[in-house]
Amino acid sequence: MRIQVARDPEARWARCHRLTNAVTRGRGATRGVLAAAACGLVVTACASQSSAEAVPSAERTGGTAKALGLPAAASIDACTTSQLKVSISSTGAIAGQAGGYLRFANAGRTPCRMTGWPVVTGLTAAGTATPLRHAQSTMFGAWHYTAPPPVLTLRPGDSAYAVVAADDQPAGNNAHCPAPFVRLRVSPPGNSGNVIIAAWLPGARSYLPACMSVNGSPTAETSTITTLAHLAH
Amino acid sequence: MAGYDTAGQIQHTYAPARREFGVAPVFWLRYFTPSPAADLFNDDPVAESRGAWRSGGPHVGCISAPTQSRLGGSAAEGQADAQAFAAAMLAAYYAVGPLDLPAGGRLYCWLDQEYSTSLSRDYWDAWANYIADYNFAGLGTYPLYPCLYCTPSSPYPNCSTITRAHGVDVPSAIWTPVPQVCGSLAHPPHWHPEECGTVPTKLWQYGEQGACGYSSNVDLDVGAPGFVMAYHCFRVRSNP
Repeated sequence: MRIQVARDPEARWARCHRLTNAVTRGRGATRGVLAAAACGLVVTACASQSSAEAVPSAERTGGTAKALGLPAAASIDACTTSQLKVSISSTGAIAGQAGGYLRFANAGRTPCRMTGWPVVTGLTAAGTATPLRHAQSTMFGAWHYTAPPPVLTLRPGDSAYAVVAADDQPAGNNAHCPAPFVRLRVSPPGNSGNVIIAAWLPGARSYLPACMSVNGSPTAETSTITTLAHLAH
Repeated sequence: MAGYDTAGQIQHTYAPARREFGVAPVFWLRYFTPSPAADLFNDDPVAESRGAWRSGGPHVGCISAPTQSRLGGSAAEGQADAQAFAAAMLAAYYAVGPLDLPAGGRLYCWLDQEYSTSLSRDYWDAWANYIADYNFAGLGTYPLYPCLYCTPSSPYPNCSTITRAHGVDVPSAIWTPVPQVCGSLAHPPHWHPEECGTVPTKLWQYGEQGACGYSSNVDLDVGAPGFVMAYHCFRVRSNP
């Protein structure tokens, strides 16, 4: 899926969430294009989210981008760590998971492109580092993986998102979870540079948990890059 | 008698879940307003109900997961969250023709209290009281029954709070998450969830999406022996 995101104050996303679901969840191309237009979005291509419906063509993609006077997505450089402002938002807990949305805001002066998995490492206060696994789906945020992952073009000021989440309770014979992650080391997809942000989740009143699964593996995970419209909010 | 809970939409979840677990669920548990980190059943109740019907498990239970910091708060917060929850259930009920209240007249309404969240007595009493006294659709039958999803072994107040509740504020049931070795929907484990003591645990979340890394966005749940969760859910009578 390839989506170009117009300037996106979160309020606009929220107002348009249900409309854009028509685009992002495959309820029909016509309705989706109308919805996107109403929200100021440009859907430049779209793979099916969960069904075989509504897979606009690559030709349509190129045409839409040209109509706006933008270069084709493939010619836009990948976003670099230095041009992104990374933060965590929409934090909370639900259904046994605590988490939040990593927000990647394009703070540069030129459009850039994001796709794939960010590299996120959880850091405890003692300095232990644990890579977050790649999620297939997350209860928190109601996200699920689609192949291929979306390709987002961010204009200056636009944002892309990724879910970080972890089980929030001990499992199996464990009476407690290990000490939580107090910071996250984050690299945007395809970048070696990173930023470190606090892992405090105000909506859950906790740091990102470091709880283990029944089989002893870490449960902390991250989604691919996506849009806020793809996530519950 | 096992089923799913999911923060995603049933219509987008049931087919992948069927592929992953091989059998149809008996029931679904879905999130209603206010639940900021989940897709909401009441946003598209017709499509969700259609999904439940097509899944083979045409029963939809109701849960709300407010912003967790509110659960330790005031009576005003509890009442406001319950009010929004009841209104969302009512809106879904009106929006879907063949969405019926349970034949037994007891729709269990769950409040999601996560492991690290404190539940205050003020919040619970107000939340539970509003739910229990809600004259749903003007029927005069008061079919909503407050229930609590919590982890009894959590060090934060949960069971100790509801133990002090009185009358209609006493929850009808506890639903506990105790993840097991990742199993199947067709063969849930032998019943041994955690208990609060004063209120019976009637539903057990034994398989968790996160811990088990299921590819479909579901947790697995099973009712207590002799307890039929589907009888305490909305029933989708026909294909909407």
